Amino acid sequence: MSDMKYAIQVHPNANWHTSQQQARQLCDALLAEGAVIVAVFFYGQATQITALDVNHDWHGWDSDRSPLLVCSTLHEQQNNATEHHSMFTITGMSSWMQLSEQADQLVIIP
Amino acid sequence: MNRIIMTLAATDSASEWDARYLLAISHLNFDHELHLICLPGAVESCHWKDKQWQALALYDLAGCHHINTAPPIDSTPIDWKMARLLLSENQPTLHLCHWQNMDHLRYWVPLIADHDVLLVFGQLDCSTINQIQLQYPGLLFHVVNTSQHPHIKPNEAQHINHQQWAKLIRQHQVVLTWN
Repeated sequence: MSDMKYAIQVHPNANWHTSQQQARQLCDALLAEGAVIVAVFFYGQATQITALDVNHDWHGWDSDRSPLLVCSTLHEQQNNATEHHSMFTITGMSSWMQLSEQADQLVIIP
Repeated sequence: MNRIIMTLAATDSASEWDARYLLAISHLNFDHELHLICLPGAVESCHWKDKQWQALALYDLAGCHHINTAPPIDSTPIDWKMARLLLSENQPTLHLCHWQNMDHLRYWVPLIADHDVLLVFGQLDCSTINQIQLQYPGLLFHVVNTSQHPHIKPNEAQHINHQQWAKLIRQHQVVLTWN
């Protein structure tokens, strides 16, 4: 079992739908090993995740335990939907930086 | 955790350069020790203006390094071997690659050292895996296939699941993500 703390940054270089899907499955596997996910940060193209409504892979995720953060600057630049998303928190970089500093390791999912 | 090494690659799009700049500035605002490594072709394809480069330098960028072409700030010329050393200080490294094509793989492969492991996720068929094995016979690599109709048998040697991926992360202190 592991008590490692991970910060997960979803920062795709290709198909971002696949990146967010793979990130979810990897996070589930890390949690099953006893790891802690301090936060998941959707960056770059992955900020479009808020436009997916229900077709994302984060249903059932405990966002109180491990917040799902979306970069507000890139979110606005890409003219993504701005309505309220209960699962995702659209926020500035400082929230992510503060949370990621609590982690033992940063893992970037491309 | 607060030592950040950002790789800049020729493969980054214009929007990706903007995203990397915002990330770089944010790290510096948080007094993180930020190093930049410009991989071959990165400076030529860069969308940052000179003023943006200079702002990074003024914000106490810890170091800038380049392979081939230098950026418009103080930067140290290095080779692939030195880049690998900066990125992982000679520790065994897990490389993460979201599969694009063989050109993308060839671009990043020089960063792989002996005993490193490459994890590729994406839609790879058997012929692509065979091609990788033929071109890089000593390469330790695993595949997480994301295809809904994978042409890979479950017992395919390279094919692993997310539990095994998590285990690889736990086994490696350094995880290097390919842009």
